[in-house]
Amino acid sequence: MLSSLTRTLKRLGPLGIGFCLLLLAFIYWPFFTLIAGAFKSTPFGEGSFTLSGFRTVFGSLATYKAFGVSVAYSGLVLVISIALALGFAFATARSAARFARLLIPAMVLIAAIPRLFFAVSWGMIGAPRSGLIATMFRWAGLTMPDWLTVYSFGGLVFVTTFKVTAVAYLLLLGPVLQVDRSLEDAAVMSGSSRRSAIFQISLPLLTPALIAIGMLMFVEGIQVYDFPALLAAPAGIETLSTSVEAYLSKETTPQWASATALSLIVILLISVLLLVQSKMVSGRDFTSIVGKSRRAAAADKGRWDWLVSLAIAVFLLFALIMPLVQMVIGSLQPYFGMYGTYTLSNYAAIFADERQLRILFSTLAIATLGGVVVIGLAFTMAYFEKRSSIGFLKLFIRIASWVPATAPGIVLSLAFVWTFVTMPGLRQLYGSNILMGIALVVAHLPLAIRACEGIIAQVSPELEDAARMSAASPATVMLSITARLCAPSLAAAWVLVSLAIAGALDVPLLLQSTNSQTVATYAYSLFNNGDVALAAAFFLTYLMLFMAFVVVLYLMMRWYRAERPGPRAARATATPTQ
Amino acid sequence: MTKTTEAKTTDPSIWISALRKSYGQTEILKGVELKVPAGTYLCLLGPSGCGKTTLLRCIAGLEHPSAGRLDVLGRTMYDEKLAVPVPAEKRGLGMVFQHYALWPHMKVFDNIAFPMRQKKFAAADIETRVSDLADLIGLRPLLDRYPGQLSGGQQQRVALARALCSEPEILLLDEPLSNLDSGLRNQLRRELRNIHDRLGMTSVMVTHDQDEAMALADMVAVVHQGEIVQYGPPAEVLLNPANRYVAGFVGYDNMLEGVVTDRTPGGLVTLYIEGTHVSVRSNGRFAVGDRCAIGLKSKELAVTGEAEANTVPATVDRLTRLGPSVEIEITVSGQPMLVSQSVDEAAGLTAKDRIFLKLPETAPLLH
Repeated sequence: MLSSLTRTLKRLGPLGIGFCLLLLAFIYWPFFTLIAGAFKSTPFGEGSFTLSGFRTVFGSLATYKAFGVSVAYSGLVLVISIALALGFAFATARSAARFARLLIPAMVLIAAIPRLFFAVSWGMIGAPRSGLIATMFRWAGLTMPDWLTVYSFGGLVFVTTFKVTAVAYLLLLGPVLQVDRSLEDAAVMSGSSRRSAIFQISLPLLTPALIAIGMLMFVEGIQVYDFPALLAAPAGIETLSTSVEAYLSKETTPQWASATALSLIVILLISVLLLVQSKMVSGRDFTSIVGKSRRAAAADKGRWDWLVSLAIAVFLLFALIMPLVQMVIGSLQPYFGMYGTYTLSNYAAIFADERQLRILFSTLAIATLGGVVVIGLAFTMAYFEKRSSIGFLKLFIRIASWVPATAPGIVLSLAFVWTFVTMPGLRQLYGSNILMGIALVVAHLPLAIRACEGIIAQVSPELEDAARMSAASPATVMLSITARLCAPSLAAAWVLVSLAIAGALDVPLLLQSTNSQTVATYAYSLFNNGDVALAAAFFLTYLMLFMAFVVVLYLMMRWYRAERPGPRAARATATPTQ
Repeated sequence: MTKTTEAKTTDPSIWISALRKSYGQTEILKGVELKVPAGTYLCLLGPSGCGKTTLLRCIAGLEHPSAGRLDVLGRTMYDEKLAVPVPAEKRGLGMVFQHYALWPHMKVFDNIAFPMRQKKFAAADIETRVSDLADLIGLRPLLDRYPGQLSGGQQQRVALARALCSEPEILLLDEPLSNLDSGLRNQLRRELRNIHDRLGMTSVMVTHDQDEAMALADMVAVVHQGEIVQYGPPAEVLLNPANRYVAGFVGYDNMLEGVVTDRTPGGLVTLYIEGTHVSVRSNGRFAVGDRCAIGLKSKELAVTGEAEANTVPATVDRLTRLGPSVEIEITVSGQPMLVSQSVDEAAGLTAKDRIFLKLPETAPLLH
């Protein structure tokens, strides 16, 4: 036992041990603290053992209601989104409809824009009196019926569906494109119609992909905070995520024990779901659905192409165009709902206020640097999990890569509050941007690791073996071969992660202070205080700032590559012998 | 290229003893024993899945054995008693991969120079060395290109140049010719042998192609189910296969079974087959009463209409014309066999004919 431990430690080396300790401190430890905290009578690790938190949670009718709402919300969104996403994925793969080619870029855009953006925007579109829809009713001389409000369970499902459909579409597109048309052709030659061949052959082939993606979406639905916080909570509808926050902010004194106990229950629930999902997926090779690789046949023009185009147009109108237009129009209104008068005063106010500028730039710093750390860590973890021969390290990383995925952002921030407040040395970090950055990095790790696994899988291990045989150290192999080859995909992942970090509302909510607010929390507070137009302008300013930053980076990179000299011998020998 | 290290024939440059490798319950290598003298061109020969590539990767350090010991150039690279085996990058070996494994983001020059850069050579030395190698292997016009712009043969040349760049004393080759068409394969095969002779290194090549092994190697190790079943010079493997498996692999496509009835001190073994006695020469240990088989190549067999010395009676079952030759399916002593004859030789033969099969005295006798 002891000898195998020393053997493992020897193989890990000082760097490997340091890496494991880092994961232990920032990923495993907060969860241990959270679990311990759920059984303590007073907050932050003091007091005696108690089950009072659990008693309150299980004794409260609100818990069961929140559970029901979460499951119904997540389930409904899942079913509608998967159906829509599957339809759109098939449209991309098979239809010659004119609008079908818009789908991929539009869906990437919808998936990349933070949830909070859509929540705020739809909150404006569907607002009972001043929203776009209400205004249109007013122009028509009608009153908007109450049931049409976006601040309801139906509204919540409606708005969430657009965003989730885009994510589900991008996940499903690969499997749908891989389905071999010749399998369907065989069914058609056996007397089936093309349409029923899709239902009889292709859809059953896609079942593993649908189940796997569906389970992930369901888990995501349980965790999501921003949509319910903005659209359902004002109507008195609480989900599990908003309930955790409600225990802390809506009671007269914060109910730490109850919030922690409820968090633990949510973590358990999600862990079970993720385990079931991994059991379902394990051993199934998604690519095995390909009969033989070949180019997809060109789509034929069909009688129903106009209907496909119409469906895509309606979806894009609701999912992308209306939210974007509303956000821009809203940001130009002196007061939200004042149509007809447009001004840049909101933007001027932002640039005149030092505090708002500080929030914009500190968020840019947290998001871009945090994005680098997330991608760097995720790449390293995925790389070692795939390539290391040390069993312990693989398992340790594997668990660490899933642990943060079990916790909704709000629970994760609670875990970090517990950890940092109970650790003497780290207490000073509470309320700082550093703590906020660490929590945001951990929260975005699981998704980034899944992405990096896919990216690394595209690099043949033989390329790494060749480098090792050329006397390259393990670090050189990882950095100058694998990471370099993955660089374009990693850069794209960095953009998405940086956007997600800036837009995350749940993680910073408990960790923020007056010194450490992010664009998301600040825009959310503006929105809640009725400064809706300013919130829209603030959010748009950030998006433009971020895009400008990315464009500058891209141009610098191109300039650097153009300026870099090639090897001398290569240049010298390139011309004469040709 | 100035490397002229003399092959030291006394010390083996690779010494493998009782090497085992398992993946879970599956044992891929089952106690391999092998000593490769310095300067040898060794071919590990066997069908896919026999463990030959795993053995090569264990020597390279890309896989670690489960038990046993591996010494390379007098240095212990793996020993089950050692906590950590010597990693691949510190073994100082060169390797050519089956699918070339050229780094697509680096130009040919950078691909070849990579091993020297890892060893922190001066830029001028790297440049000289890469230029020399480019001349040796005929790559000079390609140095400024990316691997994606090269043909398969050119890519494999770059891979070879890269493997030779840091002047390794041992070169490992994992089926380096299997992705090339036959003309190019023959050309590169000759080049490989020339470079090996010129640089005087030890080469270990994995292949499933017996012709390739016979043409290139000084020594051939036939691998079967994770074990080396025969190790010797190509001629010995070809003419005296150690068992029926090796015989089948090197082209003996017929096995004629019989019972030993006599053997002379001179090595002539007499077998009883279907009422006839035939004799073959063998150095193997066969006792009277042993059941064994004569290995026969269909292309080297002849049939006659009359009984002669060392013939066995046979019946023609079927004749199939295959271009300029005829494939004759016959039955000897209840055993189906194949004989390949030219159209002229087979003229006049029809199904159900009773004929006689001539057995060469030099045919190998196998347990």
